[in-house]
Amino acid sequence: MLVIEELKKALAPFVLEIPRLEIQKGETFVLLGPTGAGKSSFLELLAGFSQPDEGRILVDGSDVTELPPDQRRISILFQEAHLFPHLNVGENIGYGANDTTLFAQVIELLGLEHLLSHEVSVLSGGERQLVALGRALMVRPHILLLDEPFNSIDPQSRKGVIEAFRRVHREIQITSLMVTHNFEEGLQLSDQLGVLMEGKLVQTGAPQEVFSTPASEQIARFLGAENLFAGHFESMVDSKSSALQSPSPQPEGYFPALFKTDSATLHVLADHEGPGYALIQPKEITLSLEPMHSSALNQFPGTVEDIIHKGSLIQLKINAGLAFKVFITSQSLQEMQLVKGSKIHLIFKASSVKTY
Amino acid sequence: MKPITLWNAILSALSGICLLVVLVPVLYLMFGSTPGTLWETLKDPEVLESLGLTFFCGFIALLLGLLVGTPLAYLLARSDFKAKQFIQGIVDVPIVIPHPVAGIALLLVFANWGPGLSPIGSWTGIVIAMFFVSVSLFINAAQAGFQAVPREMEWTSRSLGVGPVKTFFRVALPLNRRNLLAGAIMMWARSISEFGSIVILVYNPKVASVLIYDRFSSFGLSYSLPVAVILIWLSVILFFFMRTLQTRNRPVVGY
Repeated sequence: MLVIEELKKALAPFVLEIPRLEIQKGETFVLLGPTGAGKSSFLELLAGFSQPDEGRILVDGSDVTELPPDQRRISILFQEAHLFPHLNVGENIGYGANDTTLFAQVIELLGLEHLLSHEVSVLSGGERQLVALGRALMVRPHILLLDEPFNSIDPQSRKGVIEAFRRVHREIQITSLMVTHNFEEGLQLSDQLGVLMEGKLVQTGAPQEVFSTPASEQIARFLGAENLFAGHFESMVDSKSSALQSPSPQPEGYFPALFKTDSATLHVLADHEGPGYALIQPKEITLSLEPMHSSALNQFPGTVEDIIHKGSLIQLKINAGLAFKVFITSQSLQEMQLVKGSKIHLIFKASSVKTY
Repeated sequence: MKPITLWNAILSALSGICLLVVLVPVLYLMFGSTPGTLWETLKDPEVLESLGLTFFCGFIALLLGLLVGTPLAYLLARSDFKAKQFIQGIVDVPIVIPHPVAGIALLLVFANWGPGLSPIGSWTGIVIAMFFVSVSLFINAAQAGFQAVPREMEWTSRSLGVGPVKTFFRVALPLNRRNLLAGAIMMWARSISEFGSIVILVYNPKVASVLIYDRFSSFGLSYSLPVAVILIWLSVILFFFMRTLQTRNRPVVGY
């Protein structure tokens, strides 16, 4: 468990201030923030590479604020893997380990058996980051810090690496703190989410809570994700219903699924079953006054609850079991003669729903 | 074959002039004596002793440089402190002052030391003079090398439970080996070619450069030339060998 109390550090443009933050044992906390928000400086404080001006850092109940980095039991992964180039893969993984009983388990968990005798210079970006993760896990850290660890990985292999990280968290239950500016990564790995802006922890909570009710306009703009819902994925692959065949080819690893929340069920393409998130960008939603016969699998009747003018666009808040936000032009608003309380249908394709 | 552009022609011509200015005198010198004369000179105990003294003192100066210069280079590369610019300036002083001035400065320091203690006129004085004029070259090369090792490399090591001393020896030193070797070659080269400060501090026993000067001013060119030829052959062979060693130690690209 990681506890941060009244942490303060003067950085060049602002003061980094974390009044209190608790990360429970085995939990992954993702700290989202734009570039230059102080995310990396925060991790450097936790790892012991720099000293806070005030405050305490507690790992499993003991104060590590004054301890040097090598005595904190806090491991860190950077954007770049920073593998030691004069050691091979196996030697890198074993670098800090005092007992090697974990070796076989870590290697298997990360699928690195075939790479052990390789020079690190021949590894791909994804492999490098997995080796770095293995090297960190070998020392049995109490806390794992992740500083945008997927940034240097090409998009094709990123998914596999993120999946490996999720596997590690499931199997080893390690307490982690990841910082990133990429909210999709945040959603895929986080149990709890925080937003850091200009050195201040402006909001924390469950991912859906943070995304659905940003504490300020600034946070909402940064997160940029409207219509994010938490629920459960249920595969439909075995179902005989031909109506569920997706008209466009599915991305590799995705299958037709139902996404169930307390109040609604969506047709989606998912890459896993069980708990997850669905995100429907406002631009993907079509509005219609009448029910439509279309290829889109998702069609919900709803009620306009609010109409907000935002420059050239108008934002509608629509209650359709789930609370949706949709943007339309003022011309559309006039033509459809929408007012608060109007009945309307929302339509979007299963393939336009992003799932995490 | 690529077409020869005007730009390439200009580059090549200017490079050629630069190389010629260096190469012509060296070649003249390397083939400036007959093998017979060289053989006779090599049998001269004074010459052998002088060459041995030169390379030995250069080697001791280098060891001292490695021992105390490496920590200084590491500190300058990794720490931020108020006096850093000042210390950086001190490191460069021996490069900017004329070497006879360095000799006079050292002479002043040791002038009042009693007999038996004073390095003036002994091989320890030669080592001190060599160290003084050459250690900056090593420190600068080593510092640049340490700075090129990403800080995160050492941080990673520390966060894996490895203390600062072990991290230095297991990460910082091996990753900087190429620059350390280059700096060492430069320092040794500078040491064995030193004349200006040594001639003031220690005329006897004579290092090779002092012996060559002594024979030139006392007996003329023909007597000093063979010693010069032998020194340049030894230097060329040694440095060629060390450069080969250095290219073999090229670090893996990309951390």
